Amino acid sequence: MNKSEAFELRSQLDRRNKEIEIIETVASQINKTLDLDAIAKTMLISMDNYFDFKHSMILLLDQSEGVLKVIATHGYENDGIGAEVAIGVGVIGVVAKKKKLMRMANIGSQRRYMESIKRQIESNDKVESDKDINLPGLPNTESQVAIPMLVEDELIGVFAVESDQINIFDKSDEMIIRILANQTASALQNAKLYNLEQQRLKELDKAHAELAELNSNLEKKVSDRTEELVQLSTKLAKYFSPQVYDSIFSGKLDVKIQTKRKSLTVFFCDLQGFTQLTERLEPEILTELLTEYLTEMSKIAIKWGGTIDKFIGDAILVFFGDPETKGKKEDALACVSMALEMLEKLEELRGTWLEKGFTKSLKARMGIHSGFCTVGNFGSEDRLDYTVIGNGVNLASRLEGSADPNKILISEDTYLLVKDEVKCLKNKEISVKGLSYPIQSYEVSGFSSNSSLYSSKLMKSIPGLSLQFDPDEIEDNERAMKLISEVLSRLV
Amino acid sequence: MIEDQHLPALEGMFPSWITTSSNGGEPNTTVISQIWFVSETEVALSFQFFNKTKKNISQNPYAFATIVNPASFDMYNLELEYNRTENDGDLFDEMDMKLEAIASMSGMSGIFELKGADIYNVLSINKIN
Amino acid sequence: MIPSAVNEVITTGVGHIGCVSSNLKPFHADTLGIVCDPEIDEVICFINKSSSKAFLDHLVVGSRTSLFAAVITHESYNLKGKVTHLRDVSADELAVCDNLREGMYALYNELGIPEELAARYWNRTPDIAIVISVDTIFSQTPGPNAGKQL
Repeated sequence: MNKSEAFELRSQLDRRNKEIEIIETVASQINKTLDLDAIAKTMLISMDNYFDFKHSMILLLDQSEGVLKVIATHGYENDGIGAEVAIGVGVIGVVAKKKKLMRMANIGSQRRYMESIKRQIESNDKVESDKDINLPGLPNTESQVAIPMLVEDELIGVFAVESDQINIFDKSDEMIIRILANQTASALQNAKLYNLEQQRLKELDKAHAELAELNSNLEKKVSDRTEELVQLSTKLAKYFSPQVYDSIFSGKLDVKIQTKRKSLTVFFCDLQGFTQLTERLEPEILTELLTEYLTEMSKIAIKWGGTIDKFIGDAILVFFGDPETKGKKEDALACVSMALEMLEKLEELRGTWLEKGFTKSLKARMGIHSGFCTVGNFGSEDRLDYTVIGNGVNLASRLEGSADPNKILISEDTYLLVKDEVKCLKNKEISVKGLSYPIQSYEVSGFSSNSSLYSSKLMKSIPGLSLQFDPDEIEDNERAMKLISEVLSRLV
Repeated sequence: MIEDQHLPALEGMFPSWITTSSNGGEPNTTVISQIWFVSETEVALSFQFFNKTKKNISQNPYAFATIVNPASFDMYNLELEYNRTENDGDLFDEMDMKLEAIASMSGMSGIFELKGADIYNVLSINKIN
Repeated sequence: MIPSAVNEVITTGVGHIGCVSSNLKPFHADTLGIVCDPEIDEVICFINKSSSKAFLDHLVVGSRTSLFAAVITHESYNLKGKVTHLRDVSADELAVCDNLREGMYALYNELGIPEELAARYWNRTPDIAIVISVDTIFSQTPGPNAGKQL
């Protein structure tokens, strides 16, 4: 080796050492901070100070949008922060796509070459190909080095330097840029992660606050809603017989079209001569009358456990055995007991109506039959009626129609169930459509004296006379008899 | 064969020209934008469309090329012999990236497709000026 | 008949001429000037012997040639033909070459290439004339029409 060669080698070594020193200095500056912008700016300024890179920029990958965004620049008139570069477009975009360093030395002449081809294609096909893409940087750029910033092989951004001079960057420039870019990549990644973490903490706090507010609102909402529901169900209750209502609300009865055949005791009742009244009475009076009557009858039906099917004007349909049953015999007995008490009540009502000046005497006719009927929800999907249908129902209705005023007519089936407790007189034979044979009917006269339901009490009233008789209460039999004799003597 | 002084001529800073021959001895001379450095004994041409040069090479592997050092304008003649085509790897990527970068800047992405990197052995290299 | 557009390019642009040796090896050289007689499809290329040794060693009368010429706009043509004869360069023809050289220096200057560098190519003395009879011309302008025969 001669003197000049040694000298050359020596200066190369000096240069290398200097470069390493500079790289270390810049790297340590970058790593001092977690501020993204500060890191970026420091790098670019240092690049210029130490290595004469006059125009440079840093872009970060926005993963959600899939584009690179400029976060720092140096040496441009317009700082261009926020400008976007699509992956795969231009030197920077291609470097991002392939994750490899790229050095271009004569961009201008290559673009001109491309342009001439483009013009030919346009004139040939008479089409306009895509416009020139607008990229951030020098408009007349010639030399460019762009390097992907990678952390564990994941692209976080691109660092690029450029010049309007041809072929200004060489291999050693490449190396310096490579080293510093890697340093910056790590520092930027750390800063980015730190920022993300801060962001997430903020969002978490916000979410907590929103949840707390939601909870307090929710409690109020629930109580408001409950209040609404209670009001609604109270209104609804008026439209259902209590047993059905309870069944629905307890969930036992499903609200859909569903029927079953069951053994029931069916009760029909109406007021003879009521229809003529409706034509003569004023509506207010009629309503008052009817309401009182139906209310009293309902109370009795409920007391005996009957399911009030419906009121049709003055007519009442009640059945026993669904939704709940106490047994065929018990249901039939309950129905007859209900009917007898209804008759008694009606007599009382007649008295009060007379006092109010209502002279027309209303008499009830009742019919009872026990047998299989189809019961359940009938109707369309939108409107259901919980009711009972079948030949058994028809028979009860026919019995009612054939009954004498203020009398209860029952079928043989019912009679067989209640004859132990109830005194009956054989009555006419009834033929019913759908039944090939006529039905023997019986008229109810009262409870057998050995029946537990038999009551020795008496409470009767007619215009001008009220009688209340309870033998268990009488302390002085003689006195009682004396009272009755007095009435009798005045009547004769 | 290829030494440091040749390298600047292999960066596409100045065009190169190349002559090939058909099997029947018909020459074809044309200009290309870059002859790429591969190794001391190899250079490469980018293959984008099937042209006369490519057709000739498929019949006759010999080529003659001239490269120019843009800094000094030293000119070198190379005698080449086609060896193989690569469709991936670092060289292919480098060619592809350069092509794509420039094409995309003019909005012509996808119009040029790099079909391969044709690798040639360098049989001789001579300075001519 | 050589079209005028082709004539324009070959007489004002950069040219390279190729030939093939008897053992099928290709060679080429750079032209320092071209004159054209379009009527008779004749083209004469002027080249420098010392920098074109490889080419000239394998060129004879009757050799097939390929002449590539291009101007700065990238318009280019390929003229195929054969050598009819080889001779010295006339004084007029030298003047043509001088003219071209000056034009090139001016052009390169605009491109930022100083004369000293351009001279390394253009300051070579044209000392042999190659007369070619052209039979086919192809368009070589880069683009969709490249390779089309005129």
